[in-house]
Amino acid sequence: MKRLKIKTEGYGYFFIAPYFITFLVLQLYPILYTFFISFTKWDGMTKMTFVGLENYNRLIRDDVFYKTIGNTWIIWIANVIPQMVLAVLLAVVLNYKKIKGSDFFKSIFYLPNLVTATSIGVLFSVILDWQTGSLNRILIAIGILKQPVNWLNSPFYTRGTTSLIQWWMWFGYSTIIFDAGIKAISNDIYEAAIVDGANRRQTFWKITLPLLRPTVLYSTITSLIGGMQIFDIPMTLTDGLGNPQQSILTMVLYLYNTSFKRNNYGYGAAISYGLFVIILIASIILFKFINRKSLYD
Amino acid sequence: MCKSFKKIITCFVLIVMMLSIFTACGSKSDSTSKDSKTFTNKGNEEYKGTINLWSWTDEPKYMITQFNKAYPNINVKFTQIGQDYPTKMKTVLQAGTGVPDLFVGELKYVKQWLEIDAWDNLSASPYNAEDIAKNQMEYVQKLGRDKDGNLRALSWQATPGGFWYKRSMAKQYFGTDDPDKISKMMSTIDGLFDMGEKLYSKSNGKTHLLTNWQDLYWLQYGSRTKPWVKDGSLIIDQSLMDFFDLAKNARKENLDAKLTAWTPAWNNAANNSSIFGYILPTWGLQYVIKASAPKSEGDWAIAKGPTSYFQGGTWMGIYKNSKNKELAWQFLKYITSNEDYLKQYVADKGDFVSYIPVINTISDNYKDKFCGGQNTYKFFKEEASKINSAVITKYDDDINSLYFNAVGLYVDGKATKDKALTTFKKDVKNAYPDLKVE
Amino acid sequence: MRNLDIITQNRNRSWKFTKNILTYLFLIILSIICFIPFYIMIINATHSNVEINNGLNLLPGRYLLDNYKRMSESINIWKGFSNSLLISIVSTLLTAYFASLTAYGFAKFKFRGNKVLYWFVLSTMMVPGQLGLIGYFQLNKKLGLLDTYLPLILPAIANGNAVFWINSYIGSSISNSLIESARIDGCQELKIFNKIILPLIVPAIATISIFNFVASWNDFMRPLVLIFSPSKFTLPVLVANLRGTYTRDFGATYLGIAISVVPIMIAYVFLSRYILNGLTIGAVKE
Repeated sequence: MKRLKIKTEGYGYFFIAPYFITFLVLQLYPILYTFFISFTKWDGMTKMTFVGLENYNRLIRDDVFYKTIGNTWIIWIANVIPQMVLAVLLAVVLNYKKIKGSDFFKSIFYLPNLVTATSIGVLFSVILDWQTGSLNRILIAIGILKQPVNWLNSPFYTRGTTSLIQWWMWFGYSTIIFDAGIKAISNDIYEAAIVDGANRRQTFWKITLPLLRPTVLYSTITSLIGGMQIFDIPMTLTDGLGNPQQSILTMVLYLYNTSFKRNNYGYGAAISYGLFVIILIASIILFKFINRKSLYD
Repeated sequence: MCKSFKKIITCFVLIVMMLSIFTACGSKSDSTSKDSKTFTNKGNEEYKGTINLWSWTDEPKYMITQFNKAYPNINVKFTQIGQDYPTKMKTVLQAGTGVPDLFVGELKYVKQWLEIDAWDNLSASPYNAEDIAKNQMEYVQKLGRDKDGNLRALSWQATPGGFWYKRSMAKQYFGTDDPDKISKMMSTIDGLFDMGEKLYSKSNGKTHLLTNWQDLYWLQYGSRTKPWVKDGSLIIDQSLMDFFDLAKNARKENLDAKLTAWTPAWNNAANNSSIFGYILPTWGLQYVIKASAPKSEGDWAIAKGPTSYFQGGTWMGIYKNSKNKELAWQFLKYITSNEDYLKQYVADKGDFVSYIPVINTISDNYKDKFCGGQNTYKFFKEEASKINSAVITKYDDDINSLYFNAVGLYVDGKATKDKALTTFKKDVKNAYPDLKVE
Repeated sequence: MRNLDIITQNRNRSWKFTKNILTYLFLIILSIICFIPFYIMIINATHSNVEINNGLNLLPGRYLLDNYKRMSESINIWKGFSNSLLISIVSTLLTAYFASLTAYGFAKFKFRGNKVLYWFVLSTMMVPGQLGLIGYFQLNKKLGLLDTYLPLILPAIANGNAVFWINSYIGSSISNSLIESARIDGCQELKIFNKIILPLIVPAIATISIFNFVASWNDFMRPLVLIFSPSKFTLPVLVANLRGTYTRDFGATYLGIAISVVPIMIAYVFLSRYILNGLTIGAVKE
């Protein structure tokens, strides 16, 4: 019996081999290449010069970089909290037996995820235009506004719009994931609870939510990783430079402009690794925070 | 049990390896071209082959159709890269693979590409493009030269600018629609502001002179004597410093309609009475006004503002490592110097070309129907001769954007002039850490 | 007493009724919010550029054919469509199979370094894509794979996100005893995977496949940088190239976007029934 066990454990390597081979060949090289560039000064076309830690030195002192970190976080948090709350709510509601058409609703909610972010960014920049945008026109017609508001000239509203668009695009996705999570909870637990006299509110807070915690964790961390890399919307919503007052200059937009617009690939690579470190730290913190409580099941 | 699994994994690895070897071999079809230092003289039908052309606009489509009438056996494959054209070009140039034989550079990044040796030296033989250049408007051919003074790219057009205005509005508010008289009214900044104030008050606030205060920038930009960057240092020309207050006053006196450039609303302003006109160069008529307001033919004219200026323009060059230089040269030569083609191009498209012999032939009798019969060619010919292109640098596009941002803060009342200036300098330093910024 | 009972029962019932109505209203409003931007884009695809510039259009216009003509003159949208379709389908299939393979390896085999390697897989999810692009471009240049579809398809084999998702599912839904008994019966490992495991994890695969398909379909930066021949461009790249001179041809662009999105919407609406059923079946089985 023991020999069989040892033999079968080794098979694990074979199963994961294709992944790692592909990864090492196709993904490791670019990652290392970027790391290498971050120690050089390169404009993408002429010679590369080695400059050691200069880029990282600059990065640590770069207050624009810190601003972008703040922007990215603000935009993400304003998006993820409403998104997760709504998604959990929707997943629970759609699982009530009395609500018909839950499949239909799930499909509709997922629709926004199908569109390319850049088209939405362009669409919203037109809707929010100062003089002629539809939003102003409607608000003035209803009487809420007397003068058109320059939404995209206000850091608050511009960031808000970015978060709103992100929320719109992803809440359906999260709903589907939480829905799968809820369906994975065995009905026996619920039946046992109802026999014990629990009402709906109690089953939600004491059973559904705790058992959904791993799913919420997964969703939040993937949202974090995506949110930290947000790029398309900030680029197309305003002038591509993150204005007004660099309020939507996110980390990746900064990286992109530095590398491709200003031909400073070395510094762009350093920003890229700065971003990676931030994502790593944030994920670990988030993981420990959400996971710690679930250990008390 | 082991065997089948091991087999599959090994197969997999082998496939991946084979693929790489296969394709690596495939790419070795890099036969070095017979780099002929001279081109043979042939009849036009004898030039056979295919060349690739990339541009970010669709202008080449017309050029290719006309070109094939004269050179029927050269197949020009055109690819339009509408988005991120400079990024795509940079990637491809840097890799040295898949670079088209001919590609364009807009004024914004022409300087960058001149520096990196992407285009072949056209001054040398067998091109001897100096023959063409000497017949072109001076500022145009100058901008196509690298730091050693060699021609690298040629442009078929020149892009001086002016104030495109609506004749009906001119008659309504200023009593005349004659371009000379309007030009006189706006021959000074004060005169321009007077017109703006008159317009605004007479129309009860419904009409503005300009689309936005940024329009005035091009006037200042064109009257600079110093470039943005000299010897690695940032310089702010006085006319640009003056722009801060100019812009703020424009907003205060209601000269601007607060429309952001290149938005649909801005395009549409050609259709309604919200603005008097646009400060745009030659191509503004074709691509903004005609495109947005095709029915307003005859209602436009162009006047000279307080200063002469130019904006934009497209240059085309031949890739340094192209394998089809001879064929590519036929194309480039044709679109920049073939007089029959250029005359037809003007008749069909109304663009302002940079080839002086053609300009001279046309300019005396040119009447633009869309502009109510005005001789816009004569107008532009005169404006183009006043342009100083020596102050253009490769940083201009980006620094202009940063400057707009800073001035915008001041105009919107979000910052004092000093704070805005500091912001600007900080932004420039951040974008280009190697520049000296005080 | 009885009357009071009836009254409270009725009150409960009508309260439940209003709650239901409110819930439906809430869901319907959300649905409208989800759909509006699509509606705007599709409507705009039937208007001319002049009309689009002029403001918000709520009803269809008469310029659909016009826009279609101009769009077809600039780009070959159907070729782009089939290109995108090919790349997305193959990528999705590759991910589905190989992520399952990998997840199974991690979930059910306690080999040395299992945990470490798994964390490694997870951490690769955090690497931002934007700048790795240049290195990836260099790599493909060396392998001679530029202007082919391989660089867009092959990475699908190593999709960390999918591995994680399927791993979780396997962990909670496949018992070891199932596998043990299959082994005792003399089944080979790979056969166990193909014949027994795969069918059991279809719900998880289906879910992750939709997401991967959409991600691949909407991928813009990589095809832009890696593909040169117009006949090989994917939809997002083609649509982005719908510019006239100096300005975007909005009518044609919206039409291009509509063509990119509408088929996916339709396919999703039909397929989602199967997929969501699959999820339910998988869950109820416990």
